[in-house]
Amino acid sequence: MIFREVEDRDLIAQARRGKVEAYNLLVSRWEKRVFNYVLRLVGHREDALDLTQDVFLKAYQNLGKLEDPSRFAPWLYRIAHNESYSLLRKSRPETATEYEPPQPRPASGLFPVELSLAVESALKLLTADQREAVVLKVYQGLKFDEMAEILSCPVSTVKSRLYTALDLLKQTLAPVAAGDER
Amino acid sequence: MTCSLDLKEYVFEEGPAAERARVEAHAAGCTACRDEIARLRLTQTSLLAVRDEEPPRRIAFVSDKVFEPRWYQRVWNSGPQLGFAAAALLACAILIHSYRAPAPAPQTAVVQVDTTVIEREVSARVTAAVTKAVADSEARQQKRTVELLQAAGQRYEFDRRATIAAFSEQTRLLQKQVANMYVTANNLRAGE
Repeated sequence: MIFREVEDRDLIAQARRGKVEAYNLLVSRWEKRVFNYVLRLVGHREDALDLTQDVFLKAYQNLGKLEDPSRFAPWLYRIAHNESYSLLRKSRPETATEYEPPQPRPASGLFPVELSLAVESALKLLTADQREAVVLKVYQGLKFDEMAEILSCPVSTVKSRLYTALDLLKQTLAPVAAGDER
Repeated sequence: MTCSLDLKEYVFEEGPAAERARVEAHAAGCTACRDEIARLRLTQTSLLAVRDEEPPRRIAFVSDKVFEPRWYQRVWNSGPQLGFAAAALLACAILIHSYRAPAPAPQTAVVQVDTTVIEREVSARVTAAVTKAVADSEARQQKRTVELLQAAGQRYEFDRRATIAAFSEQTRLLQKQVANMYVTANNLRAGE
């Protein structure tokens, strides 16, 4: 008998056959990442939670349309991206790109609250596109091609947004980060 | 100012291994690039000061019969099951076809022919057959006629001989009667 970790594609296959338990396991693997991604886009916890639920419901309903189960992550983030921007457009059509960062929670001993506040403020200076690129790359750890798939744009555009954002953040955070290191 | 290398791609651990090795080799001897890489990494680390939050509530779905897929939807969504069903159906169809289908008709080749040649050939054959049939019929008729004539001749000869024999017999009988009459007359005369 060979033991191996149950992979996402196994759970997807079972969920497609109507096994809700398998889908719940898949949700438990991804809900924190999707919640934080959506939270950093919409900046509101309750909205982020509602959106996360909608994302997983929509993903369940459209699971049959997912052609390649190995591309589940970009596909899921794409749904989350669409749902988030749909909410932003509905709630604030004229200021859809305006970002209200969530109130930072007390950080662990490694990162003081001041640094968290500085990062939140620095993120607020970015455009929505630049911020989303940073979220996907730094916080979600996705590859450039996956980001391009989620954002429906070329890799060169993804790089351009991310690099510009990183230069801005570097300038803004340099004094704080240097002080924190000391 | 740094050199024209994609240091951000290197910091994010993207790009081909050869390019990453090239950046590392360059940064080992270039202070500006080494410092830039350090600043980028510090920025990256600073960003991670904002840590991921736990969702306020866990998301879970419950099984509801109304929303559960039907059996045919499950089969349809299951690749191996659908493949097996299709293969089984195909095998059954082949078996039934092999038992019920008639033997294949012999294949005929369509050849372009000249009809005038065929008509000429048929006409010649029909004429020959008719001529032969007429000749045979005449021969049979002649033979029959000869046989009939021979039979008639034999019958005539037999009748002629029978008539002669009867006439001879009648003549002898008459002569006897005449002779008897003479005898009787003589006897009468002698008795007077």
